[in-house]
Amino acid sequence: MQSLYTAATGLDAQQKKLGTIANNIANVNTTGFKKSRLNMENLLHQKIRQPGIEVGDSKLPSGLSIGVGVRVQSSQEIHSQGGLRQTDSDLDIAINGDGFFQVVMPSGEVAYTRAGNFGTDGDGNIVSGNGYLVEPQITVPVDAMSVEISQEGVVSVRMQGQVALQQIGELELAKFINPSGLSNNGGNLYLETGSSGAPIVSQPGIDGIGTLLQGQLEISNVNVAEEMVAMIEGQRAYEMASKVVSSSSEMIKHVNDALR
Amino acid sequence: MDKVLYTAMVAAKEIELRKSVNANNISNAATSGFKRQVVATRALEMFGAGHKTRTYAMTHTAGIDASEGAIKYTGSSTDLTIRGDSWFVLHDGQNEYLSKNISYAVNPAGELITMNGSKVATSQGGVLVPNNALVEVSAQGDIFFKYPEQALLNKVATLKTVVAKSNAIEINAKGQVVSPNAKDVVFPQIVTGALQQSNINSVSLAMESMDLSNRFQMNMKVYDSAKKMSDSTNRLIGN
Repeated sequence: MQSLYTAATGLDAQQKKLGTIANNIANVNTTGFKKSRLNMENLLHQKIRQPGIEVGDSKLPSGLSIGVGVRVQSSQEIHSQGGLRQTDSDLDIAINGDGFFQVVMPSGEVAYTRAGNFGTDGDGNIVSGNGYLVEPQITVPVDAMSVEISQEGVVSVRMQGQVALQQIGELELAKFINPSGLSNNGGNLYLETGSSGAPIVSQPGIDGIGTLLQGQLEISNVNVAEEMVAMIEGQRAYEMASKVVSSSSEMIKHVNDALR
Repeated sequence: MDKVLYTAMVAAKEIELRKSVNANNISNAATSGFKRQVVATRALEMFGAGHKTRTYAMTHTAGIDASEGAIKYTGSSTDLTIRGDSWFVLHDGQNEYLSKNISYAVNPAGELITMNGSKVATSQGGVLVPNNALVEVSAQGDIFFKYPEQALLNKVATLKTVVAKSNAIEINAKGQVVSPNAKDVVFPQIVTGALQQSNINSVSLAMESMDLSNRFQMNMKVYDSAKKMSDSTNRLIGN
């Protein structure tokens, strides 16, 4: 009975959808998190009868083609700007625009992140929240009083007993032509893929790459109300597909009863 | 008795096919842009021995119900949906097909693609998006590039949109909506930042599912009574 399998594809797709919603809701307080959504598509159509076959003395005007269900086409991360939260910490930086910070993972590979909750390691190097070096490497001197980061990414420090700021480096941002094509590596990190395109690295504030906002963090772009509605939708669709499974099974039972 | 059995069998088989269509519609209740598949069953005269009144059932595709689904605002500016009888045109590398929704992205080559990798068709063929340009689509389907530090938008192309009414639509073997000979839309109504949901009415489909189950059961009853009839005959002969 085809309807059993068709309904099973519905169960499977809705279950995956609920999984994605659960992940979005779980990350509602994750700095720099981008919500993800599943795009569904209908499966291929089974051609059971071709149109135009002869039936008695007439021809059928249309054949019979039956769709065999649904599948998850892709998961798409929505890279819209998240809200900003004031933290007043010198090394918390939010990006207002499309860019990503670059960090070097222990493997030497460069990863990209929107989470600007930076700190310093034992040597004074600026590192990401998960401890990876921020690229380009910037070292904050031990006796620095405060760190100032301009909107264009210039990092300066105020030294003890000095009036003028001393520049210690410049932060850079990377932009991708298709940010949804980045591979999510977990830990707020993204990796470049063939479909994201190569990173376009530049100084903040240029070519729409975004400016930096010191003392603020980007919160996730998850909208809880929207997720709740999507959850209800997914749950009801799941429920209906499961009803079809049970009613198909009922039909098989009728066959068995008749044959007894 | 055999004739009764076979007539009931054909009917049960056709109901099973309709049940598959119903299951497919229900499975796609949450698929954006999905349109309900419609099938019809007709009675056809049965030739050969027996009464003229004997008919058998045959199910065939009656097209799709192209009525509009609810418009859901997603807030993502790359989501587009088109209203009325109009459709967007996409190209999957082999053939063109129609879609009610587009969620576009720019691939590394600079082409506008949808999430399943199909290319978005425009009136000027393909468009190439420069690295630093933002893409904007107007309600009339005009594609604009916005360069940073430039106030004005540059119109580069128009999305290809066609009119296809329910009766001119076919579903191909890949499950794509196609409509040969569809004409271009003069004034498309495009909503940006929104997607059209499926036009599935859960209540009517749930009823249909129940109705099909019951009718299937009725055919099984015919089986049963045919069996009883033949049992009685056998008893007569046995004695």
